[in-house]
Amino acid sequence: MISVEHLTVNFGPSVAVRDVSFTVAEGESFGLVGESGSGKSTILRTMVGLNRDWTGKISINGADARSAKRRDLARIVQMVFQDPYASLHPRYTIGQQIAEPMKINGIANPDARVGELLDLIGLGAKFQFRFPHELSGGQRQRVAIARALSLSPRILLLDEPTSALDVSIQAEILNLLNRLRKELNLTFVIVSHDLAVISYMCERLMVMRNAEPVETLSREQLRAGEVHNDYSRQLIAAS
Amino acid sequence: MTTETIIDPRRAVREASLKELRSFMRRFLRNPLGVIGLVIVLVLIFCAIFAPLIATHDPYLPTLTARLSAPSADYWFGADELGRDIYSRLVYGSRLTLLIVGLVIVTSAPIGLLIGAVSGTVGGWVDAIFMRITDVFLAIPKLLLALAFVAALGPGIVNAALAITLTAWPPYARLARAEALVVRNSDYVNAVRLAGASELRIILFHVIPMCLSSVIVRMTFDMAGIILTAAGLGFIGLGAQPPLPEWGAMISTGRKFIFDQWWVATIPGAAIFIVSLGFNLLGDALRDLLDPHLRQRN
Repeated sequence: MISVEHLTVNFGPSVAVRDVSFTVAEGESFGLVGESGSGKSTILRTMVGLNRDWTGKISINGADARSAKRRDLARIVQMVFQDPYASLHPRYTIGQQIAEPMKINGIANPDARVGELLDLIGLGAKFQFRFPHELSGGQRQRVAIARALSLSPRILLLDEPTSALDVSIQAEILNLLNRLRKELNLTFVIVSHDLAVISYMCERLMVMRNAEPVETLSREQLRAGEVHNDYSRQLIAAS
Repeated sequence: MTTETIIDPRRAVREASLKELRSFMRRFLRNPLGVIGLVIVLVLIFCAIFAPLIATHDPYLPTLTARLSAPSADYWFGADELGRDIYSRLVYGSRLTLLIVGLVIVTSAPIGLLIGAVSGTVGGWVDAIFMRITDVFLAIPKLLLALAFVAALGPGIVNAALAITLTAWPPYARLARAEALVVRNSDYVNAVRLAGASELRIILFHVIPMCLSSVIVRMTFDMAGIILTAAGLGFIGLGAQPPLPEWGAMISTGRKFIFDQWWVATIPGAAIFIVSLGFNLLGDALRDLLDPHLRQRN
C-alpha cells in the first residue's frame, strides 16, 4: 500500500530525515516512534507533499508521490494533525469545514455526508453548526478525523493524534480510531513519541533517532522485549 | 442518518453566525469609549443621509445681510463671509467627508488586502516583486504624492480620494502579508491543501478571512487619517472646490477672519476633530476585540 525507499529530507543545510525505508501493507497500522526532532512528523508531511525538498522514492497505492496530482492523492491519503486547536479554521462552522474537501473535489451532496460523518465519529449531526471555539480538544480532534475521512481515503496518516489531549480523552480517540480502521478497512501510519500509544495501536513500528531509523519491530517483539538496539531498549525502559 | 430534529441547514448556519455576532456586540458594548466612538460615527452617517431635513438653511445660498454674523438663534454656528449658515454647511459637508472616506477605503483596503494575501501565501518571487512595489509606495511622502497627483489631474473630490488611495493601500498589504505568512503554513490551511484546494481558493476562502480582522481595525484607524488628509487637501485648495461645503476648505476661508470672527474657522475644525476622534475611539475598541494578538487577554 505504501512504500518509502531511501527517503532523505533536507531543511536547508540540516537533514531532517536520512535514508529511511519502510513499507506498509493494506489494512496494517504502522507506527513511527522517537523523541521530538527525530524526523517522524517530517516523514508524514513529506508523504502528503507538504515538503518539497526530498530525495528517494515514495509510492502510495501504486502512485508516485512526487508526480501524482494532489487531487488524486487526496482521495487515497489524508492526514490528521497533532494540535486540534490549530487544525480547524476559526471562522468556519464544523459542517463547513468537513464539507470543504468534498466541495473541492466535486462530490455530490456534501451536506448529507457531513451529518453521516459526524454520527460516525460520535459527535452527532447537530454539531455541524458549531464553531471550533465552542468545542473541547477531544471534540475538535474528532472533527479533524471526520474531515480527513470526508473524501473516503484508504490511508490515514496520524501525526501525534492524541498528544495534545488529556489522558482520559486520549483513550477515547484511540478507540475511535481503532473502530474506524476496522469498519472502513483503513491503513494507518501513526507518529507518536509515546510507546504505549504505538504498542496499543500498531502491528509494526519503526524506532527513529536523530533523523535516522534505528530498528523496525513487531508488536510482539516489542511486548516480549526482543529488542536488539540499545536506544530502543532505553526508550522502552523509559516508558 | 436521521437526527432528532430536521433542520434547514442554511438557516442553522445563519443562526450560528448571528449568535457569534451577538456575542461580539455584547463584548463591544462593554467598552464605553468604543460606544462613544460608534455614536459619533453613527451621528455623522445620520447627518449625511438626512442632511436636507436637518439643515436649517440652504448651504449654498448667500445672505449678504448676515455676513460673518455670530452664532445666534437663527444661525446656530454663525455665518461665513458670504452669509451662508455654517451649521447647514457642516451638515452637508458630512456627505463629502463620508464620500471621500468611503471612496478611499473601498479602493485601498481591497487592493492592499489582495496584494498582501497573495504575496504572503504564494511567497517566492511574487512576494519579492509585490513587496518591493509596496516599499516604493511607502517611501513616498503621503501628502506630497497626493499633491502631485491632484496637481496633475486637477483638483476635485474624486481626484483627492484617488490620490489618497494611492498612498493608503501599502500599509494594508503589509498587514495582510504578515497575517498570511502565519496562516499559510497553519494546519487548517494544510488540511484544505491536502484536499486538493487550489492556491486561489486557499487565498480567497481561507487566508483572507483571517486577515480581515486586522484590516478592519486598521481601516477604522485610517479613516481618521483620511479625513485629516482630505481636509488638508481642501485647505490648500486641491480637494473639494468652492462652493462645496468641505470642512477643510471651510477652515481655509475662515482663516482670514480667525481673529475677529473665530467661529468661521473653528466650527469646521471642531467637526474634523470630533469625527476623527470618533473613528479613533471606534478603532481602538475594535482592536481590543479583533486583534488576534490581544485576544487571549479576555
